Amino acid sequence: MSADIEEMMKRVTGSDGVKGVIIMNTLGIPIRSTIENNEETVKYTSLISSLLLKTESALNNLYTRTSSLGHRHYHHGNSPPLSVFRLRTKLHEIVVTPVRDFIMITIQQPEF
Amino acid sequence: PVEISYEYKKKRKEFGRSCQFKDSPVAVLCDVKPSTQLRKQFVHRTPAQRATQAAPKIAFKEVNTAVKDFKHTGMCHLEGGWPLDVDPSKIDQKQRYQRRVEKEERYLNTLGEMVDSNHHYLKQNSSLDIYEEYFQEEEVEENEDEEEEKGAGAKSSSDSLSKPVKLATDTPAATLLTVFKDPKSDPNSQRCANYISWNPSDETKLAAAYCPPLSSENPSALSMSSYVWDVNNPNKPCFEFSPTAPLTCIEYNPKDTSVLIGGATNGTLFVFDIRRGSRSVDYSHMENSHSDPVYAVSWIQSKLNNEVVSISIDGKMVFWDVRNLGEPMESFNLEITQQNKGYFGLMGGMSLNYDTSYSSSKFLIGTEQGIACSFNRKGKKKDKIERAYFGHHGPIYALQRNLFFNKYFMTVGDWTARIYNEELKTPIFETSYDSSFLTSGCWSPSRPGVFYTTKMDGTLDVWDIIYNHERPLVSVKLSDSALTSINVSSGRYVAVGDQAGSVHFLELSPDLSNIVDGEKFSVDSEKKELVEMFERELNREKTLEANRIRAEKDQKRAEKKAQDDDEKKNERDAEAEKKRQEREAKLTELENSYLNSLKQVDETTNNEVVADEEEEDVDAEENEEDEDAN
Repeated sequence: MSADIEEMMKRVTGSDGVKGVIIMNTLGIPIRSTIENNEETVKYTSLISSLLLKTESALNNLYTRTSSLGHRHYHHGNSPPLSVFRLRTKLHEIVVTPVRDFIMITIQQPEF
Repeated sequence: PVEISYEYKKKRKEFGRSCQFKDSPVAVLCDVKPSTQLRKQFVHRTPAQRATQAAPKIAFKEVNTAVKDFKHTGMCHLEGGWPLDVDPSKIDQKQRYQRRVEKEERYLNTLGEMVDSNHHYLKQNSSLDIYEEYFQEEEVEENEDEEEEKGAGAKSSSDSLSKPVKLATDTPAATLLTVFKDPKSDPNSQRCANYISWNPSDETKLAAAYCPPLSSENPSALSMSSYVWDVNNPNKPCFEFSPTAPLTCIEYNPKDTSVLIGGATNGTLFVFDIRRGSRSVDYSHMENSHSDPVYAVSWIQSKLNNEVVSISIDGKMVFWDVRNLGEPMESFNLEITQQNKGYFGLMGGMSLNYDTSYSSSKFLIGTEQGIACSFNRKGKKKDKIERAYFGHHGPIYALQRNLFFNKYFMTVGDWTARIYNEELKTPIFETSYDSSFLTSGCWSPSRPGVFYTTKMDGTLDVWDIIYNHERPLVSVKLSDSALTSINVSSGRYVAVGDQAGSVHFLELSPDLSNIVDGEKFSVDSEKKELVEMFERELNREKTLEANRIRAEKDQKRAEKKAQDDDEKKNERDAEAEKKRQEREAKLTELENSYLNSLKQVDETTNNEVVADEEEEDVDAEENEEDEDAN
């Protein structure tokens, strides 16, 4: 089982220009991180998780619909609408994919 | 003041004792009878006013929802979120926790999903640049905003205007300022505002010619006057012309702006001088003038500014001297007599364009047949019409040379407006076919790529061909009746006349007219763009034309060759025949001679003769052999 995990991690870390990968849970605890420096990992987890919370709340507010009974229901069913969160900066790009209870953060330096 | 008091005595020891009330018989203390004098001071009030309110009875009650408990907590994110049993300072505890999480089933599943999607996006980044800048030029600054703010940072506007692509026509607009209604109109018999001319020296005045619609009969009840309007006063025209026939067109003399020339529905011309009253100063005689209404007049460049030209659908182009309108100076027929121009015969003139910056003796004429021609007054050939341009399906109502590039001109007719280059007889550009007829059009004097067209359904279209080829930039519905004429003054204001006799006066937004705060901005970049585009189209058309011509030539040559081949073949056959016959004749001759000689041998019995015969035989045989060899 850990072999599978290793293999999957290799796929991501092996992609072009990937500087680091962090997997964390929604509490902000880094489960696995390829960044040696723990401080930096924690910085990423804490800042990105708060960003994600804000984003999710914004999207929820955008995409809910109030029915005639006054109930609110999601546009897409009960899963949150956020599929990927990409932050491109002058230095590199941060790709965040939240899936249910865990969040994967990848820092990549794209070629272009 | 009346003191009202009631004294009573009470013993000290009785203070504080409770009162004991007892009944007493009724005693009248006071009896006030109604007094009639007092009554007179009052008035019975009828009707009495009483207020009622029909409102539901509601009770006022306070209520509070269930209170949510909030708690302020701080989080120190040097190490965050660890559950209670893990001490963040101890690495092995953390690692243990991490490993525990990793062993969970759901972690694996989720990890699979996350990896997939993350991988996808990472791969996207490395396969192509999704943030590619397509146009690596300076940022489009807020020059559009600045233009609208009118003058704020005018300098930087002109800098950014020298960019290759001007995006300034993003808020184009044409706003209607005033409408000048025909003072003599009534709904039954409407006159149309057929022609508009701006006063060249005074931008606030325009002359409009009113006449009944040219296609209908001329009811004499309609007034024949035309007016000069001041744009600041739409209620009353500032000057009235009273010719003896309604004017179809009117033009200010560009050099002496108090003189105007007007052409009328009966084909005659009138000269007006504002200083000398509303009646015409002079008029031409009907015998010398056109036999159809004058469709266009124009002043010509001359030393004393006295020459005008007029055209009409009777096919005549007549030059006049306004000092003596009794007789025309020169008269030409608008006809093509030479065979290879593409058209042969007389044409009816409908619109005229004279551009002194191009040539003082050449005119562009739009005809009823849909052909635009260039007419050279000083041409030496038999036909004054030098070139003819084809393409329109119907009469050409308006045409004008581009004021910046005078080798190109636009024509308006049938359902399209087309742009021609004077070298090529087919248009290099045409607008898409509109749903209604186009009735008139002109270029903008301040922006090289902008032109206007008016339509039969009452709409004014503003086109910018640098920006968009397919549809107009601005389309304004001005009236329910057809628009008949349009004239632009210095780029900022447009006057449009319609068939109901109203003249609409519009102002263009600064990005369309290129004038901000009265200052014109340079249009060099636009000119460059435009001329490149024109040249490109021109080359394309030329190439197409050349291809077509070459294809024709090839075809002709192929046909001719086939013909030649046939001829040659026939010749050869004939020759072969002849040869064969000759040969046959020779053969028969020789055979005959041989037979004759044989006969001779039979007839004689001499040996010598036999010997001779043998010789002869041999000879004859030899001959025969030779023949066969032949």
